Amino acid sequence: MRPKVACITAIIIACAWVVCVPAGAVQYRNYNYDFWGEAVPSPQAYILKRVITGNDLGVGALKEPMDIFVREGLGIFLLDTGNSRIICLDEDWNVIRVINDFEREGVKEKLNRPLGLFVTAEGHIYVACQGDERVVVLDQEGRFVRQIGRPQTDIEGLIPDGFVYRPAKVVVDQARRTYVLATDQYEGLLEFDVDGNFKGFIGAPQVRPSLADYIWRKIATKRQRERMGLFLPTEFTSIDLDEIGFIYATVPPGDSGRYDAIRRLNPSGEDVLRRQGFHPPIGDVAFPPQWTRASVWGPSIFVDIAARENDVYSALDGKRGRVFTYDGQGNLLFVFGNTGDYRDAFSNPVAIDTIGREIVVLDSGAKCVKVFRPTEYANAILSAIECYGSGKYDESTRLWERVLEMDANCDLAYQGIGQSLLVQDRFREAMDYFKLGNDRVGYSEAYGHYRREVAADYFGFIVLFVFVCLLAVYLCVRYEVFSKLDRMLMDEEDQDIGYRTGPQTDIQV
Amino acid sequence: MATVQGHRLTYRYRERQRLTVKRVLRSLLYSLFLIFHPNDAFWDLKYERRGNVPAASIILGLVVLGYIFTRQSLGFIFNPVDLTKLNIVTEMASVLVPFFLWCIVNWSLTTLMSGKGTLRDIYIASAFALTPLIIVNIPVTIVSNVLILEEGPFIAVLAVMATLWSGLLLFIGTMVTHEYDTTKTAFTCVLIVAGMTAVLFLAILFFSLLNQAYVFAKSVYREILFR
Repeated sequence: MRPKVACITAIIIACAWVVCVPAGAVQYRNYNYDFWGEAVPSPQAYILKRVITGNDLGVGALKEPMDIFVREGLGIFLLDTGNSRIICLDEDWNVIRVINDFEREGVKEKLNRPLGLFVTAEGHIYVACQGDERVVVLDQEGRFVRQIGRPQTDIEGLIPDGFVYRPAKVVVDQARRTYVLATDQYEGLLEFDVDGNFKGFIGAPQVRPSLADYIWRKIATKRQRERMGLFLPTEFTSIDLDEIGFIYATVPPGDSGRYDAIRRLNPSGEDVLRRQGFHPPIGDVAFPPQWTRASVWGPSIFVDIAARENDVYSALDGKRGRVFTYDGQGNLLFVFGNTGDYRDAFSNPVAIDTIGREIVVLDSGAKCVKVFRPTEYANAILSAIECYGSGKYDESTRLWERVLEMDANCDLAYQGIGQSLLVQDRFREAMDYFKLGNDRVGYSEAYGHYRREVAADYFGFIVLFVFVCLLAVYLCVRYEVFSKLDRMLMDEEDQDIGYRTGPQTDIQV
Repeated sequence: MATVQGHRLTYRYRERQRLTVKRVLRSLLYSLFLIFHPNDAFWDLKYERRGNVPAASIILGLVVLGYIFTRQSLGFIFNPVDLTKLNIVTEMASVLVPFFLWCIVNWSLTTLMSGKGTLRDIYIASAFALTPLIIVNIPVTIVSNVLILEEGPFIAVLAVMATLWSGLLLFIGTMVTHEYDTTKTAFTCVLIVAGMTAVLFLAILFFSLLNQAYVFAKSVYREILFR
């Protein structure tokens, strides 16, 4: 009897499990970080829509693809580095053309190890070719337009001695200035003007030696110092351009992490990224440190970043295959992705871009492009941010409430509703929502207004209370209440000893 | 003459006072005088029997309660504690462990350095020195609930003031209890803090070793069991 029951139970459970796992469910638990830096469960934000390999496109297998770029209206551009070609696709993933080579001054040339790709609104394709130290500009048909070669300058010392130029990524802003990210290049991004003349470096990451490094350096001898590594600024790993021409750049975090792993550079190279979320945008907040036995330790390493609408941006963590999406204030909206061999995980993700709200990730290891579509949850969050940005507070509140129905852990939704209530002068309710959303700043603002309202109502009582307190203190001092109390509590035995101080009074002959 | 003096000293220092509720209350009341006149008051605390262990324990208890109250009820805007994880035992330990460590290390060192205070004197003086923490932090915690972010520095300044005040009292208390001069007290305080660190380190080492020994014994037991 017993085994039979167990067997039936097992079958029922197995069936229930099969039935319960919904279509599109993924192999990992999705999460978000709360105020205290702990991962809390969160609904799935993005679901795999399709996987596209080179064979699906009919152009043969991809070989070590390194970059993908989407330009609304012009299509999708895929840089197949190993095959030295650019595959141009329309937005439904149909191949328009494949650019294998181009003609320059009557000679056929190939792209030599192209690593980065950028397409301007006019349809010029900029390709950073590491192999032949240049950025090649092609038009949409693949005809050669011009090239930007090694940086040349008259200013002494601007380009360091022994300079090796290895361009890896390129972006072009609205003023047609070209910014090139070069590998092993510590001075920052190279800036070229409209005509391709080298203007200088911008946005060099700062060097921040740790205290331990500093102390070691101080006590080391000269010969030891010579053999130590130099404190070089870290180089950028990837760049992208946003709607208004600011550059999003990612920086490797080192072993222990850094708060500015993502930067937003204005045209003069200053970092203007807002970091007002619970944690700075660094990817994973809680991660195993170096000395644990975890096989994957240390902070997230962003390999690419995609600027999106409404100051939202998504960054791709190459280490754990996760995509982190942040809003313009630096709040973490959602996380998805994982490394692994199953369909919706990545083996070696290298590039990310967006088509509308869909996210495409180029997986160099699996030699394919993975397209993810937002779930209702992600859509609601993105819409709520959009509505708030355009002043539709009611609509925004409604969407945040929809988000809360799906995810009670979403602090951002509470904050969003709180903000809307604050704008509508409903301070008491706003306070409750800010408290739930752990937003100290918002709460303080709402509370300030609320306090003024309450204080106005009870002004008389407050003044009276303060007056009574002051009067009590005055009376205590005036009538020596404490001394009287003291005397009252004195025993006869104490009175015998009295109040004398110091040992000299003890000595009586 | 000597006999008389000896007799009086014996009478003063040795004879146990009858502990009455009145005496304890009077001692507590004295703490309010002590925080403003530490030099005289610490002397009387020891030699004029103004302090006693129950009163000191009540003050210490209030400090612990005040600390928990601050952690628990500081205004939402200023409170960085995850209230769902606030553990009352941990909070109590984070006051009591350093306090008793201070007392014991203080006694251990001053005994060797011709200090005049007994462990009882040190306990009473140290507990009384913490009075400002109670009378500042508890009202500040209450007031913090009606303040907003811009008024935060007010709280920080008061909290720092209370801590410095208590620190100073602890210093003077040590000085008077052991009849040291200022330089020697400063030197002793540095030694005490170093000693506290050493004791903590040894304690951690001890428990770590104990744990390893336990694990070793357990694995030997298992090996024998499964053989």
